[in-house]
Amino acid sequence: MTTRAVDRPAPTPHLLRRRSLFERRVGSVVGVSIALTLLGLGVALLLTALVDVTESADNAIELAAVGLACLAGTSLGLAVFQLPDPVPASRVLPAIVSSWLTVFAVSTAVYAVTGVTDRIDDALFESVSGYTTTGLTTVVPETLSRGLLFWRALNQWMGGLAALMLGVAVIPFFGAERAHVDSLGGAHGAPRLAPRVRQGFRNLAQLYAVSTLALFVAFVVAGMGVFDGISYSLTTVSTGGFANHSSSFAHFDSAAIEWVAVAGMGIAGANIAVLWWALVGATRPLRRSIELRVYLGLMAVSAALATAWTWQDTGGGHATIRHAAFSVVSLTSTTGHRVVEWADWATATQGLILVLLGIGSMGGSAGGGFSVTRVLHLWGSLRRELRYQLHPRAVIAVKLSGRSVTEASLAGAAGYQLLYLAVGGAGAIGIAAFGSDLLTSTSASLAALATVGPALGDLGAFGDVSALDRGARAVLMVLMFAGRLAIYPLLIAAGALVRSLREVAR
Amino acid sequence: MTAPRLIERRVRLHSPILHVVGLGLLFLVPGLLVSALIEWGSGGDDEVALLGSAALSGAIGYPLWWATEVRARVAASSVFGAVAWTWVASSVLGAVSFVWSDMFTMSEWDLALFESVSGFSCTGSTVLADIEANGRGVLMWRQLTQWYGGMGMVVLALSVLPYLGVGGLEMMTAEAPGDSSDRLAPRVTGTARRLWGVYAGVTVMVALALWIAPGMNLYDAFAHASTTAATGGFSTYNSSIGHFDSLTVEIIVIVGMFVCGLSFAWHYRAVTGHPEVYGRNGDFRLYTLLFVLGVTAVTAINWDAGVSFGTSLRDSAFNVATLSTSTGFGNARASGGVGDFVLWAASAQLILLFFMVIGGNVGSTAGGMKVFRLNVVGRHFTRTLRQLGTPRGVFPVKLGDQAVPEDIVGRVLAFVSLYFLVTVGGMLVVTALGTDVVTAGTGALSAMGNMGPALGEAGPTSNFLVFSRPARGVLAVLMLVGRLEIFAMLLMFVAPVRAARRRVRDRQLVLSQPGSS
Repeated sequence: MTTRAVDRPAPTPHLLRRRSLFERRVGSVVGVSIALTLLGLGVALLLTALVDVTESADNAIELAAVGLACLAGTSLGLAVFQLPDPVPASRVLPAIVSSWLTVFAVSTAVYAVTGVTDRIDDALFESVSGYTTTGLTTVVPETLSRGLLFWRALNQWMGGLAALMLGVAVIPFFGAERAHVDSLGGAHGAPRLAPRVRQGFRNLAQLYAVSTLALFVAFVVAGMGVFDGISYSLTTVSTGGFANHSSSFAHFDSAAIEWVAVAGMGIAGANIAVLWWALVGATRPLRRSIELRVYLGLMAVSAALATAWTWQDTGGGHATIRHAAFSVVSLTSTTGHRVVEWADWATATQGLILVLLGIGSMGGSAGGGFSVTRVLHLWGSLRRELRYQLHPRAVIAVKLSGRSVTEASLAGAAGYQLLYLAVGGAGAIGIAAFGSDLLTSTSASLAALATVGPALGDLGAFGDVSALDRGARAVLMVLMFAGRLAIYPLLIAAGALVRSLREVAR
Repeated sequence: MTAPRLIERRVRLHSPILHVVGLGLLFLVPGLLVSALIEWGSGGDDEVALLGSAALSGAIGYPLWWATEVRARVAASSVFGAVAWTWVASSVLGAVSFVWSDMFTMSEWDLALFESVSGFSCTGSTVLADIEANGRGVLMWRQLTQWYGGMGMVVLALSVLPYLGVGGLEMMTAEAPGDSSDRLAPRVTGTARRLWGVYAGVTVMVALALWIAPGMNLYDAFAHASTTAATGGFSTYNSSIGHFDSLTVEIIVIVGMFVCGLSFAWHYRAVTGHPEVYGRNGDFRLYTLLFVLGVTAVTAINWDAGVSFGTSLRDSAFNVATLSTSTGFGNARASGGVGDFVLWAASAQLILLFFMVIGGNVGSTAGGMKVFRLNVVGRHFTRTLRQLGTPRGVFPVKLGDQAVPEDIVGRVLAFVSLYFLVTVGGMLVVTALGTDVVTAGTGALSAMGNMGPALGEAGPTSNFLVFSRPARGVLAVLMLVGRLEIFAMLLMFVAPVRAARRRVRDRQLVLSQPGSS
């Protein structure tokens, strides 16, 4: 696998270099990124406290206190650390991983301080599940204050944004993940979001905010309350899956709301570059993207199959179609909103659900999973392999959306598939070791890795994750995190950690 | 492979497919004759059917072989076609003989075909509800279908598939003891001559060991030795190896299966005076390591579940061996024990699933993805990680001290992807046909890896009648696809279609030139 542009220095904002409280600050990418993460969290927490005040203000003080503590951490961090110049490329991924860990820690603190969970590991699970946009929950949402419900939803929204930025701007420079890169870099008929990374970030954040707003309006028009509209649009656009109600979308029992959610989840799982170009008026990428067609086709065919297979048992009619479509789109986009218990569906659908869990959303979206992009890469190389078999000396290029895909990208997709299976398999063994049955552990492992959340068996759409052993939940946390970061960054960060520990030891 | 000159200057049709199919059918004749002899000797009533099948096999095989020839240059598509159609033709003939000898009735032809495919692909999944109701000769023939399948597999894996470069197997060209000729036919005959001796030798040794062991007579010993050598897993008893309820028998079978999950090319080297070939080989070390780790882990899990240590070790070792070599014997005993792995903890079952995916070594009779590919994939990952740490570095994937060319690494990765794709596709279809997802998924995996038993409802004490008729059809196809390393089955129609097209075109040419005829 080849790499390029690895030593490119990240842009260093001037603000971070000039003002100095201390005479000499320590150059640390990790330190600065943690400080900036705390800044974001502090602002978010203060906002959450405000939201809490609008209802009962049960937790406003705790929320504000943790928020202020975060801001204090930020100023301390920025006073002690500065960005080294140039930023060493090898520190970027450790910085990202540590900022994710910071987020988990702060969110855990919030749940612990507000007394949402009795145990610290449940609080950690809730925050990991939130930020990785997975959506498994150990709490009963009805018992939470408005502020905490908003905080959960906001967690997912921030997690979705972070994952998008990670996929668009950071991972591409590390070359480990060519399949991902090409989907964002224009190989699939969609040009890059913007020529420069920083502008790309801005476009992306704008699009993300606009979609959230649009979805909010649509939910409210379809009949949701304003607060529910806010929460559900935050958790839908991020492919998160947290809900304000234990029964998720079944609570509303409204066809209009469900169809809006289907559209919202479908869009959230689509490549953001394609969406961006469509929004600014360039429909060519939209029309040319074979990836988009496969993504939509996959959902359409699966929804049709699920409808057909559940028609008899569920009485048929509009509700059957709607529930099938909702569940399929929820699984494919890796959202995890539920409207019906799919684990109780006819056995024929279970294989389909497993396959959808294994494929996941489009590359370059807030959704996770193996990604349609990589599946298409695999498909291309398999078709080529068949032709090689007949014409061993032929030189055949694999093309997607009319452009040829690089060899490194193909090898990357195949390698990632096996890594994904290895991690998923190890996760399944880990979960099973704590007493879950075969179907539950396998599907839960896949669903956590794909950041879907609910799976099959005991952990179906309305399955109770708190019924699992704590050890199994710990395995799920690792899987969610690994899946969200596309595994490689975690491995690299672990490698960097080992290296720096060794240096320290020396 | 020169035909006797009965008629000088006869015009032979150039058709590698028909030639090899004919040869394959001719090979089956002795097996059928031996089985007929056993049937007659043991007082069964189906010796005529077996004799008739032998006659049929010869009557179809000989003319095909006699009237055709393989010229020096053979297109890859023809080789794939020849391989795939030989297995299909043998399976059909096997099915005919099974129906003829009343193992199945006429209306159960699909079951007969399934059983026969399961035999020739060395899978060992059975759809016989009561195996012991059949005559001894017929059952011997059923065992021999696997032995033939294994015989074909050894040559296929070490000379034909490397020649075609299937899934990175060109790395194996150095392994095959035989003619290093560029032409396929001399290589195949060379490999066959050397390796079939080893294969037969291993069979006889296992048979003798089993015969000496208490509990087995000579018939049982040979019957089970032939399916051990083929890593097939058919047994002449309903409860498989568990029928003998003997630790000695199980140990011999474990060792036999382990040995037959190794490449017969290594055995050949070892026999010809280079026993160090095992220790030097990375695949051997990985295979052994995985086996030991697997037995340890599964033993620990079963022990933890409250089974005594001895029983746990015995049943874990047996089942890890039977699945890591894709054999599929069962050792569920009437006297107790935990031989039926369907009842194990899910974590132990998942470890078994891992072994079902990996399978044995290239050049053995075992199925699965193969240890060689696991080795390449694993080294590809460690390389990738090192590359991420040192982006400008060049890290070749190495097996031993030999660097694997990048294109071969790519093809191995593509093959493994394809393996999973086909398996998942099979699972999807089988679940869609109404089987629960665990049984369907493990059934597809088991068929693809030529294991035999699966998890869920199709465990070692059950049979594949739990699948619906169309689902069994899908599984039978998967068995052949997996056995022939995927590509042969996917490309089996290419050569016949091309030949037909060529014939049409030639005729058109002749018609358009009136003076030429």
